Amino acid sequence: MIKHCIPILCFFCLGLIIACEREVSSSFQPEEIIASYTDDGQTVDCLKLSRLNLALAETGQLADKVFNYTQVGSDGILVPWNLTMEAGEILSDIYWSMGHVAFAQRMAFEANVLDERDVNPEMVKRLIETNLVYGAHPVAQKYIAVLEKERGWKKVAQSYRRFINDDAAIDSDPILGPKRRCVPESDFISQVRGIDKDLKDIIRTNPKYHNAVEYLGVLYLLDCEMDKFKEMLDEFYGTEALPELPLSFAEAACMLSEIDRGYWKTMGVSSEIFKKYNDFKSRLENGLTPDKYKNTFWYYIMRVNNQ
Amino acid sequence: MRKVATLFSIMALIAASCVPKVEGPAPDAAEAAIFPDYKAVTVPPNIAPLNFSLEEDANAVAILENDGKKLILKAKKGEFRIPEDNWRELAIAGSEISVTVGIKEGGKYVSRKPFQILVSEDKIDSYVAYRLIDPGYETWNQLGLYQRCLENFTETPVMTNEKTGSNCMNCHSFNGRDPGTMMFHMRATNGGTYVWKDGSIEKLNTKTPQTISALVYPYWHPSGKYIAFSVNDIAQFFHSTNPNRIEVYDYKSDVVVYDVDNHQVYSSPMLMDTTRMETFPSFSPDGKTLYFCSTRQPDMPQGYKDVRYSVCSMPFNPDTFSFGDKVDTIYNAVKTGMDATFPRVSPDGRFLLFAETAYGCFAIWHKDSELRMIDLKDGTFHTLDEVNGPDADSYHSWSGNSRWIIWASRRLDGLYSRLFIAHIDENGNASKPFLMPQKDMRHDRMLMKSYNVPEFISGPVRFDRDEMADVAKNDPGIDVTFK
Repeated sequence: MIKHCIPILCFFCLGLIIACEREVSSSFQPEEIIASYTDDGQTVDCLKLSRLNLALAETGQLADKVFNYTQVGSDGILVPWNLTMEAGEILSDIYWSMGHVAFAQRMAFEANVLDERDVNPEMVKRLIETNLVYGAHPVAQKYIAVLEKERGWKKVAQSYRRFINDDAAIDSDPILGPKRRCVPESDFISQVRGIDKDLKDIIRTNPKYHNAVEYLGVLYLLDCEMDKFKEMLDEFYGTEALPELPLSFAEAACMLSEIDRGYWKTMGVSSEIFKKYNDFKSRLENGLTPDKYKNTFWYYIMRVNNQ
Repeated sequence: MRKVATLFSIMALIAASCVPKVEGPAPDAAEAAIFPDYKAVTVPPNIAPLNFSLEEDANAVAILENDGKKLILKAKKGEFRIPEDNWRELAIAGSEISVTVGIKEGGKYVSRKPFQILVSEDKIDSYVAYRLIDPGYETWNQLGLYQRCLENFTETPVMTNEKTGSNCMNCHSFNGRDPGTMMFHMRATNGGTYVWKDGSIEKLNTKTPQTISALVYPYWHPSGKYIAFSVNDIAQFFHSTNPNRIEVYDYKSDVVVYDVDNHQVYSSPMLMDTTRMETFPSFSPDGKTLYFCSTRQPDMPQGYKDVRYSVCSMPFNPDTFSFGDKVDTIYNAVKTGMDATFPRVSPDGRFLLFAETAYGCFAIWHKDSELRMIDLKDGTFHTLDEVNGPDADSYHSWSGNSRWIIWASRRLDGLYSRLFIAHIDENGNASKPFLMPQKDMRHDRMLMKSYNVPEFISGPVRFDRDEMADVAKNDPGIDVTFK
């Protein structure tokens, strides 16, 4: 009996060892998040919606498709910081996606501190990334050592070792390099003057990093800040930061043409979109339901105005 | 007989049954790369063993020698752990320990360049108290005040927040390193100031209508009758690019003195000047002088880089609980263009130690922060280049015999503060500092907390944590009034 137990026990232990050593893959799968998101048009969980919007941003679709889903204002894209680990985690991801390295780092730190476990591996990984971006190599090295000790994270942690004391490698990395180029040269006090000012600095610093301008514009649209949105278009449209308008921005430009006639043309909006906007207006004026336009900024702003 | 026993214990330390032979060192032998850097440091004779590890992956031995005694250690996973009994025999006051590291190369141990550890005749206080905290931004989770016996590796909690609603606790302070007379604050849940004196605990509610906040940065008067405090309207913001990450600043601040027996605070118009911010008080060892930092009141937060504190002093009469009417400037920030915080006078009254940075009140977040010292006998300014590192060196405290300082330094990784200790001789000369020894050499590299506000104490704090928690949760506290 004992003879039979030993191989079974060994096999069991081996299975455990294999399971323990299995390396993690990234827990953030944007396509999966988008595909599995359920939108009943009624109840909205800001945390889930922020994650969806983040997935849209990470797949380059935020400003095109944000209004394909029921939106609830800026709280649904930048979940309020309520001193919880969950909020810290998603905010770190969002700020990282925006190119706001200082706040991605801050929120990663907060989430890691708030985690009941000794270490939150995802957030320690972010601390490695943000510190590498800043060139803070000694503390990045510390975090790598800490992450290496976490079950299943050893290979992920070790993959960052090649960046230690190698700024050229960081500059040329497809993830770290663009983020590093987002760090403004001159220091500013983060968020004291508003996230939009921070994002503008990031856009001016790295105009090729389009997530920043998409987040900025969508934040303005979700809060119906049309004057600020127009200022943003006036500054960035036609530059490297915003060579052409994504769909939601084009829709908003049509609305701005109500007070600045022909504005949509100067923003390169297609006549097809402008025609749709006129159709949307005429439906409203004639008491017809504009539901066929429910995936547009116009519908969103109508809904906000009716609330 | 004792020699035989020592020899036996030395031999027993070697994993193999024979003593390894170490060749060399060659005249051009390289130095061994070790962590922590204990080469040519000066240590007190009663310090815990200076365990160290090799920074290279090698089969190695270390030979420690002093006064005819020899200890041979074989590295285990690159680490040399020195048994306490053997260390005590080697750490002879007023002597040198020679350390030779041999690396196995081609079947034999080849010596690296030996180094020395200087053992001072001056002992160090047996304990240090500190807070362990995440060096973070806004949140905290587990934090607490701890004490560590410097003669061994025993660390015990003084008070931790798992008993008090996961609140914040800070600003622990002792009367002249006496573990029986201390205070600290709890913030948020169970907020209050807690005084442990004469074996009893007192909870205080310290915000008064006349002061701008509850009591903040403390310093005990040597009589134990008073505690000087600052009152501060504190805020913080986050940098976008600056390696300092965080800026903690005051909108305004004053200095007051708290009468422990009468539960009253008192101040002077010169300590509550509305055109200036006064903070970080401390007393001279004779209790007759109050030191504090003072700066003109700039517009905050935009003027945060214009904040430069001078170190000032004014007479204090403990018999009449009154202040003098003259303020002296010990360190003039206008002249130096720099900024000084946390003045601390050595117990012998000779030296004033402080942290100097370019601006602001929170040196711990300033990478340029360095320790400086003024000789109060002749005004000589000591830059303490020997002790300062490449990153923030800040909160500091003196040993009871005025020969040792301990402080928090971020030099290891740029963020997590660790405790360093240095010897200061009677003329103000500093030795090369050493990292507070740990049983496990990986501890300081892996710990995700900072050591904060190290304060020497002569022994362990012994209050009952459950009783303290009970007072925190159930005692309404005594309302402090303004005299």
